Amino acid sequence: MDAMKRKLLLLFGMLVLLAGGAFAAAPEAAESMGALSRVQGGLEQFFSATSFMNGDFTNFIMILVAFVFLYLGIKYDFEPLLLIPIGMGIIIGNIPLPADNSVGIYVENSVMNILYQGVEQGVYPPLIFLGIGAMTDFSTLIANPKLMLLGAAAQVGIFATFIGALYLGFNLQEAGAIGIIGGADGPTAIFLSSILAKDLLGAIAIAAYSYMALVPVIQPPIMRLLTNGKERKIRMKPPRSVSQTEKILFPIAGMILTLFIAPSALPLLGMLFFGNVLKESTRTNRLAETARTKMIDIVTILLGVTVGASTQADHFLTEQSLLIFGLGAASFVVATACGVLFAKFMNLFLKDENKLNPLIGAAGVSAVPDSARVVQHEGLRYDPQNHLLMHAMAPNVSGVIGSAVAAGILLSFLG
Amino acid sequence: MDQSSILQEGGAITITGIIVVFTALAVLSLVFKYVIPFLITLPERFKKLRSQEEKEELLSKKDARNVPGEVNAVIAAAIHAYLDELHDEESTVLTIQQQQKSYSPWSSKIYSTHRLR
Repeated sequence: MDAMKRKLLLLFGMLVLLAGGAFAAAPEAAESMGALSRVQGGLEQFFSATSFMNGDFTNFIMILVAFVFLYLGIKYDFEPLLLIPIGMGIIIGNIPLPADNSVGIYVENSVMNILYQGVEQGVYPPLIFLGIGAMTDFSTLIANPKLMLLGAAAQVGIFATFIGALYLGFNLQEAGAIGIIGGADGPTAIFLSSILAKDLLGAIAIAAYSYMALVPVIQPPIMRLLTNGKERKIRMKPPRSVSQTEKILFPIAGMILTLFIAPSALPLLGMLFFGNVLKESTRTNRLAETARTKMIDIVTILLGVTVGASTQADHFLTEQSLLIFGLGAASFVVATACGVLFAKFMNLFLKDENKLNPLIGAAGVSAVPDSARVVQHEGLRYDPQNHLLMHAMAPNVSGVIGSAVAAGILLSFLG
Repeated sequence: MDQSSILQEGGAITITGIIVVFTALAVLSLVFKYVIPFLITLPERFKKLRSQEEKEELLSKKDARNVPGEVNAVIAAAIHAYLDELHDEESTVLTIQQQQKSYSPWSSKIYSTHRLR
């Protein structure tokens, strides 16, 4: 790379000399030479400030990673609302800057740094949860409350990854932050890692969102591996209709119960259930509408772009990041497997007419609503009349609650 | 802290964490399976209970009024006898006041006793 810089400087010097020769032919040569040297100095300074002179091959690697994100988001529609802002953020964060710059995301009080404070201080995740609460319908969960246990089972992925990270030599706090990738919940992962392991925040956030986008690729093989044809064709009873009173009581009772058990999850669960009350009360439609549309959109843009920008090559391209990506993949596999296996375990105790289709256990990883869509898709593959989406939404939303509770527990132990 | 003690602590956190997550969601599940439906139907149950009580009260009142046939027959006979023995009420007021009568030859004494033709 130094050789490249030398060549560029040499080329620039030759150009300057040629220009200088032309000036020297003029009568006022001496005066011109002074001005020329100042111009030369200015140009040199300008060139030294460009990204060409400060770049490193690692920046280009990260820009290639950004292209992958953009490609997956635009071409395959994998979580485009996240991958496109993150992809563009990665490019922004990996434009090479001189050491004394005042615009980088890690430079205190720079514009990007101020926007990044929302991630670093854990402000954006609760706001995202508010929006999620205002758009989530808990009806299927209320209609069949035992499906909540599937959301709990999938959280085993979090703790398995936590143990795995400890084995790989991460300290307790770092392992806790890495483990939460298994919750398949981006905002929760960011929230926890912003408190437990700030240095790993970029890698954890990127890993969490990458695997969330890859849910349609990761989950189906595991679901097929752990179920047989007969189980995949199980038709579940349609959920009963749920009264408005139950819908209003759910977030209130849910908030009180879960937060009394895991109070550290307050910022996430508090906002989630608050958003849901805004929706279900039907008296605050304006607020609910804002929370689930404009507000969550704004926060998603800021979160995505700043998380992306935080992946500066010198911070991101480390051995630790590679380990985190490996653990993240394993955590998704374990979480999916635990959900499916627990559904099969529950079937041992259920009457024939109440049996669960074990595919819905895979939706216990949060990743709302992608994992529920994957379940629906897989169900239809084996029985074109078997629509599992409504049933899968129950473990899916309980997975959100479960991962937030797990984050609260890790925070109470390690925070 | 050496690796083995870190792993031990990690194991403890893991077990506690899994138990707490399951407990939290199981409690929520049980609350929504049993407690909330009970609470929601509570006013209805009260209403039902009240209407049941009212019904019973009404029935008990009816029971109180429900007299045997013989008694009914006796009462009916007594009423009948009582009503049959009743006379028309007549004015029993005696008076010494002179009644003013307008003259009429049709009721005149003169024509009936003194002038026979």
